[in-house]
Amino acid sequence: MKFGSDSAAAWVFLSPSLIGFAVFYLVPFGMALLESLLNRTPEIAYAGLDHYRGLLDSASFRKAAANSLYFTAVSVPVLIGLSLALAMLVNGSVFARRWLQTSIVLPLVVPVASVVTFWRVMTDWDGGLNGWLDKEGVNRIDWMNSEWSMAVIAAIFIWKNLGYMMILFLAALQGIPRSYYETARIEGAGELRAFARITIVYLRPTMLFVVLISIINSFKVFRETYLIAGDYPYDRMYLLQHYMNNTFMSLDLPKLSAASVLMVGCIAMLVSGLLARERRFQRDME
Amino acid sequence: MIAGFKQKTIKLLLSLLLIAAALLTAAPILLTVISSLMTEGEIMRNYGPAIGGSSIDESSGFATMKLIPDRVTLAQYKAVLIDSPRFLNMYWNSVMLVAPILIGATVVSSLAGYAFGLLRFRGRDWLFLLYLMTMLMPFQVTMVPNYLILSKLGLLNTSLAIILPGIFGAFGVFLMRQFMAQLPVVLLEAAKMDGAGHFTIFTRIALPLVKPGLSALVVLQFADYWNMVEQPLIFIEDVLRYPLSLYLAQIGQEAIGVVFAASVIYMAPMVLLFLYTENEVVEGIQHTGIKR
Amino acid sequence: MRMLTLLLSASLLIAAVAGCSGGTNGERHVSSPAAGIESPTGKERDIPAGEKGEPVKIVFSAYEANAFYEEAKREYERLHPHVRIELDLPVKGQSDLSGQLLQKFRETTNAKFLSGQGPDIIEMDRLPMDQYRGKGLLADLSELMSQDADFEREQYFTNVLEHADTGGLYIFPLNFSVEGLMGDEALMSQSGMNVQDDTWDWTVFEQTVNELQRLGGHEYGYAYKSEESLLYDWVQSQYPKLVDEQSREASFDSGLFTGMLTAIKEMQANKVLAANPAQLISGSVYFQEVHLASPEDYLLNLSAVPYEQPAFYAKPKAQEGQAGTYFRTQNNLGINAHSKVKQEAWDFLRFLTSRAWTDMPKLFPINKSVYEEQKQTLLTDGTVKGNPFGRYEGGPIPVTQQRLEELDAILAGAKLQKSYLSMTIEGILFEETPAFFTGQKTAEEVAALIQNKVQTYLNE
Repeated sequence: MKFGSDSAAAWVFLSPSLIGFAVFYLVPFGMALLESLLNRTPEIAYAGLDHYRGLLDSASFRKAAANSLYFTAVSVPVLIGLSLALAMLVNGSVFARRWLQTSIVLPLVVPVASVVTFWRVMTDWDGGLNGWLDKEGVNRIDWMNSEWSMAVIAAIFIWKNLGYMMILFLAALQGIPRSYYETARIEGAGELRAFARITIVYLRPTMLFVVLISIINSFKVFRETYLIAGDYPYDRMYLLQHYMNNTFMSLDLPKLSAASVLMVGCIAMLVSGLLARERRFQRDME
Repeated sequence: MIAGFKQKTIKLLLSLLLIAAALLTAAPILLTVISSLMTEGEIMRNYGPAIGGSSIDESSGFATMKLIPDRVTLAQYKAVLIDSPRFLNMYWNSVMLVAPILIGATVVSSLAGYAFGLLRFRGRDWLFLLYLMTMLMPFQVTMVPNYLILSKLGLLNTSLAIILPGIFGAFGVFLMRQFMAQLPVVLLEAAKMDGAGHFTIFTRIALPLVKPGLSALVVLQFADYWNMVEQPLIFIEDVLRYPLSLYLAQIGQEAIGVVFAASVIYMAPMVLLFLYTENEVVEGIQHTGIKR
Repeated sequence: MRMLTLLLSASLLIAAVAGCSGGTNGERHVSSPAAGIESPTGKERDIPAGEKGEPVKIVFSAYEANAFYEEAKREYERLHPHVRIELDLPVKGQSDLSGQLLQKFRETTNAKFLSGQGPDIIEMDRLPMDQYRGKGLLADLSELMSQDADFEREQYFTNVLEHADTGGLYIFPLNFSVEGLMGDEALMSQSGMNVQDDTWDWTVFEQTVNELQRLGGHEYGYAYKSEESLLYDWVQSQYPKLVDEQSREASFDSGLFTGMLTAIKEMQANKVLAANPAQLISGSVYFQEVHLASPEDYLLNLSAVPYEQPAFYAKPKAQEGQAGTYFRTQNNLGINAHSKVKQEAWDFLRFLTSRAWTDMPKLFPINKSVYEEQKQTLLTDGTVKGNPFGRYEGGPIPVTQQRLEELDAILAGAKLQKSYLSMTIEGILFEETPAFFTGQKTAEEVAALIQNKVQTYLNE
């Protein structure tokens, strides 16, 4: 008998989580799904895919989706590349490792309000960056109302999450037995080869996790954006979360639900693809 | 010889890169600590131009960052810790929200992670995907259903309205599943052959082995919930029950003179937790002494 | 897999049940033996009470605590022992620079209403009125009025009541103020111009000012509280050209809007417009923007302007064919469409309008008899303490029957709702335009930003 083939035990282990999960997450999720298919006014009625159609017709939704996609597609790979590099550096023995490591993780602890204050001090019309530009004799830039805004937000996002992802990679890197690298070296493999054949391969499950969490956190950057630029920011910065927040504020629950179901559906497709690859990979390993 | 020199140069360059990254990430925290020692007047002089909204008088100049205060004072700390009793009260509120979440989530998620990562059952992959999907739902969408459910359960305006959803979040389950799935099956099978039940295997073998994962879970969840704003803002009505994160979000613009000291005190427990758990994350595996 | 399907469908079922019971709370009416209850007017009337003497609970919610709400609650509960009024007033005098308190109020109120747990009476001042009405969350008050035999419309400023809500009668304001201009009547009659301020539009007004300036007498043409305030009036007057509600198209980047921005700056340079406090105090003007909030306020404003014969003029009309004076309402109350105690809530709402509460905001009350009381008190006192900078230099200002009758006429003409721009567009305008007036950005830059943001809003 294989180790894991005990479904009774599985349900026992799962039950505490499942009960709470069903009450606080699954039911709300179901309600949102339901809401996206209903009309509330004047009477409750089945609306079919009307709200989804309305969504795709909305130029603002399309703009928000495109901006979000663009933001995530650019900043998530950068974040993952940087944090993996840092994790590997920290993992190797370098000068004052512990302190460096701590300082990279620090942005995680900074309260949102301070993050926002700091970035405002930097990017305001009379802020630090413009003060510097002015000294250099260059025209000031209204950072949050220009094409730069996306870059500013990406910088905040990466700065904030670098430590987060580094912790995850570090924990996973520590799980790779040293002996593998030793064997590789004895067999005459170069560092690059060892990286491709050992590190990347063994990091795969973590990579799946990091990718998904990065995507989720890239949506959470809304909180900072909202506090800096309000509910109607510069065009480039208008993300899906702005759209959803605004539709919530105008009490359009069906539209809001439809937007989130659509978004979750798209990401779920991506994730199930990644999960399938992970399963294939696990089978290969066994 | 040459190869050794080259390696050393690379190592030096990498270290420099790391130091640069560390400085960049730590800069705002350093500034916060330094600013917490400044007088209110100095803070207003430095940051005032950028914070006072779109400038009313043009002559006020630019915001500046100063690394050395004109005059060092602990006035801010006194104002926060001694003169405003609400601050400590909210500190305690935060602790009483975050601690139960961390304990509960660690237990619940590692159990579920064991099931998802190591056991096989019907519909496992679909159920797991469902877990992941809920993580993606934005707060605005789940807020109304949650409001309804919490009020049906009579939990509105209690700490449980924050704690329970925190405990059962999918993040921990996902993280633990990833770590559990990486455990060497050979080892677990051997334990089973020796007649150990799943619970024994879970507590004696799996948990010690995923210690880095558990540490990562605690650190990341702590950061998430210590910083949460939306949930308490909506589900807690009583201002006296507010956690610190809400207070900080509120005083950010109103009491710029004390916000830095408040932030330093606010960040302290997380920094301590990091320093403590970093060893766990980094060296955890080595200490368990298990080689695959 | 079967287990999972079961689980999923179970969750969906729970969701459906929970969702529906949330949405249809209001369908179940509490019907019970009627009890005689003293109505605000003192007459006995029938109000359904809770079952078997069970207290009726009315939840009243407003953003900010007002002492008069507390006073009215105590008084009402004293008169109606079986009614409990629960006041939900989250903000009690705290400052809210970060906007967090307002955000919390808006979000929780939304969540409460959408989950069918909204308060019975809600003050709509800080909430998006159109959306609440549009989603069917507010009760039609005209229905409640017609069911209420004791309700006499004539007791109220019906001109305000009927125009307070552009989409029907879903809010009941407790108070209002009027906006207009103080002008120099002596100069006006000297000029021989026949001014019809009841109907004049911006073109006529500008012509009048130009003519007066040509004749001479004062330094500035007219004074506004701020550049943004004037811009707001102008935007309102050209609104259909700036926002096409039908096709949801904004045209703030057209020359029209940038023209307004530069015109305001030019007018300041040419001394047609004074729009900052320094100019207001030093310079004399033909017309000065004023907000009237009480009879006392009217007398004070008349004395504060340096004219021998001051007079109140209505503001130029935003649209052709409009007539009257602009007003703004405050403490706009609505009743939850899904409330189980609509009748009781309506009765309490009427009770709120029935008296001059001690800490009522200093505004005109919607109830005419309370307004009459205000005037009577002034007449009995005989004088009002003057503004130190006004013509009476801090001395007492006499209260005359004639002045109060003028005010009656002004209030009777208040039939133009001041703010009908959506809260969002208003917010965007006030957020972005100061950058132009302080010289940070050009008119084109500001217009482009506003255009983008408004268009995004319209496309949502």
